[in-house]
Amino acid sequence: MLRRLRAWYHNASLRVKFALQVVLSTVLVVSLMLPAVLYIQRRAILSAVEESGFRIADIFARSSVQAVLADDYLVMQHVVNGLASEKKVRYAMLLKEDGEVLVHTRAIERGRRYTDPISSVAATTRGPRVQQLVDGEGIRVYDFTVPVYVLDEKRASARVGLSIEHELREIARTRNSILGFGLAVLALGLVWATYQARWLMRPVQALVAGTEEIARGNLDHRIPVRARDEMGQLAQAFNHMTKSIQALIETSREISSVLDLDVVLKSITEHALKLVGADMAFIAPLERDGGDARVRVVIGGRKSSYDVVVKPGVGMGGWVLANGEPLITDNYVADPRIVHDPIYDKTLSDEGVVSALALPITLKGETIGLLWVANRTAKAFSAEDGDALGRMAHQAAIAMENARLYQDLRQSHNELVNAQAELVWKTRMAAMGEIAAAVAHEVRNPLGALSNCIQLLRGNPAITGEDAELLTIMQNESKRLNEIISDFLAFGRPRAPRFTPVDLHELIDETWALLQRDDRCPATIAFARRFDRALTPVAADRDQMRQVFWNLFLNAVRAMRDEGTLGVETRHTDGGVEILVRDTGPGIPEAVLPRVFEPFVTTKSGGTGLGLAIVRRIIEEHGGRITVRASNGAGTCFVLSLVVDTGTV
Amino acid sequence: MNRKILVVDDEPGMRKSLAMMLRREQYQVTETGSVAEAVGRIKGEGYDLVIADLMMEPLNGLDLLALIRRYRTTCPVIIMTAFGTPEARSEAAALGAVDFLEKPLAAPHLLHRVRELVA
Repeated sequence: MLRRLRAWYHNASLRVKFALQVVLSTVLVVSLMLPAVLYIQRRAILSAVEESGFRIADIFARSSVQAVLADDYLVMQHVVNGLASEKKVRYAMLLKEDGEVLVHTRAIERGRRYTDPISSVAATTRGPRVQQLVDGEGIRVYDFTVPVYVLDEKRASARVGLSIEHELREIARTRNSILGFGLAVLALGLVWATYQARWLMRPVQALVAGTEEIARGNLDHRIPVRARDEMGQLAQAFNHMTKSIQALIETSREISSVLDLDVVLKSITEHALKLVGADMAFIAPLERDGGDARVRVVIGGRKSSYDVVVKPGVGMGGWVLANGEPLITDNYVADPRIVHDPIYDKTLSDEGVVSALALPITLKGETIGLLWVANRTAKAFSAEDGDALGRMAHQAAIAMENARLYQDLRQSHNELVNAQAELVWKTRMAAMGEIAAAVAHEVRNPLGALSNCIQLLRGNPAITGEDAELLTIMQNESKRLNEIISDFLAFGRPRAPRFTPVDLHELIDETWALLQRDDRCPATIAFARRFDRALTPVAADRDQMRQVFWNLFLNAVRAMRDEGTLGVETRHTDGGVEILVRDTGPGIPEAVLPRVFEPFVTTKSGGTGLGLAIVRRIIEEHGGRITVRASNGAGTCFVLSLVVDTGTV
Repeated sequence: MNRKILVVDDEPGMRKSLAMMLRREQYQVTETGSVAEAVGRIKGEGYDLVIADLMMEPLNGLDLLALIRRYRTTCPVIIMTAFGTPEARSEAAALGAVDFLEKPLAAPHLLHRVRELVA
């Protein structure tokens, strides 16, 4: 039972507990107070009765001395009758030592002997005595006895009974009033306690509700602060904590999901600004070689970026870097801790900075950066601001380190991938070079013999008509075969360029002239050239550049099939020259476009797909670049950019 | 006066077709597939022109050039090859080759060079 009661109390709400405590306290007070009040009141009333009782008994005893001495019954009766007329007196009597009634207010009692204990005590007492009894009519009576002495000899006991009914009723009435009052107080107390409990509990309940909201993940919840008492302070602290947690969680969620260092830094700075409600904030990660920190992100500044390097010991950030501790100042200009630097001071006075807070971003005890917030008013930052930012900076440090590591990782990964791709490429090219050389040697000898034979036969005037045509086909096909071999050789066994001054215009014209004599170039193809006459010769390998133009021109001509215009434009650029080769053909499909310079990628049937790969390699070996722009239907445009290195010309 | 030309190539098709082409131009042509034999002939008979392949077994065109030089013989030599690296080209030039032609040979160009050299 007790255990269950305890368990119930344990689980009861604070409101119930409070009300219960108030009720119990009231009950305790009332129940302690009531008997004391009753006792005091009873004592006061009864002692008044006793006093008057003894006085009456005493007067009775004195008045009776003469009569007792004289044994004058009539006088005694007279005295007794005088007493009986008193309202409260229930009886009066004189008793002899042996309990014999000498005289009594009721005359009939005279001569009787009383042996009841109270009467015995009264008869034998040597001094005044009071006893309580209930008489024959059920009335409660105080029985006062005073012995009657005659010359030091006790002769009788004067006994008077006074009714105390009235007094006892008075006492009962008082007791009932007090009890009623106590109950009223109790009831009022209960009501008040309930009300008070509700009033007191309201902020606690708000706090509980707030905690539950936050537990559910609603970090935007704030508890209304109604008073400045402990509950108000608690609510304020709670709100502050929630805000801090919110900022922390938001920051950590936002920055830990991002691996881009710049984004991470921007996010940290924005959150720092918001967290402490500052006007301006910046972040400066430590440079990789250590020591200095460079400002990377500025939020809330009058300029969007600052190229500022913070050196240890100089300025506010410098103090923090040197000491590894946060620094709060409510007056930047006048703070004696700061070693002032004219450039920093100018920047901060341009920004109107008054108060500021700077703290180190540390990871595993090492400073990896600097976080700085400032106000343009004298609104100072508190130690709590510093703590909140410090916690955020800890999160920030981890995110920064992650982003940094990821950056390193990505870089080394890219390097590795590139190195591997290059290795694979080189291996493939070397193998291809070997194969191309072997094939070229093996194929070109029979091809050479074949070519000789065809040329001999063509010299025979007896071969005419269709036979002569067949010989021409044979000659063209063996020429094509040789070109395929040459492409493979050029690509698989490239040679380093031999630089000489080359007049590009002359070379372009020469190549076009060569192409015009080739039967793959229909006479219907027009050649439109627009040369920049200011162009000076460039350092290049003439043969290789001829190959470049040949390949590009031949591609263009083949793309246009029977008619179109091959356009070649040259122009001066900043430190180089650009050559544009355009055709009016159907263009290269967009899917193929990004890969046109890769080997073995071709849109023609019967092409090796090496032409543009050779072009790109030659251009790159010349330190230049080639790009292609195209759109279906509008032709293709190749742009060659060559650097004019006047030193080598 | 018929000019004497020696064609050295271990590929018979190439050698024979080249020899035939030159004979039609009224040159007196000797063919051989062996460098050793070629050297012997050059020493013994003397030629106005030698056209030799670069890649031959066991001795090659460059060996032929070196041997001609060792025997202090003067005779213009054209080296032809199916696959000429720049290194081979410059080595041939250093050993005294007068020309370095890539197969397949363009007949007009070859005959033009031959006429120039044996004139």
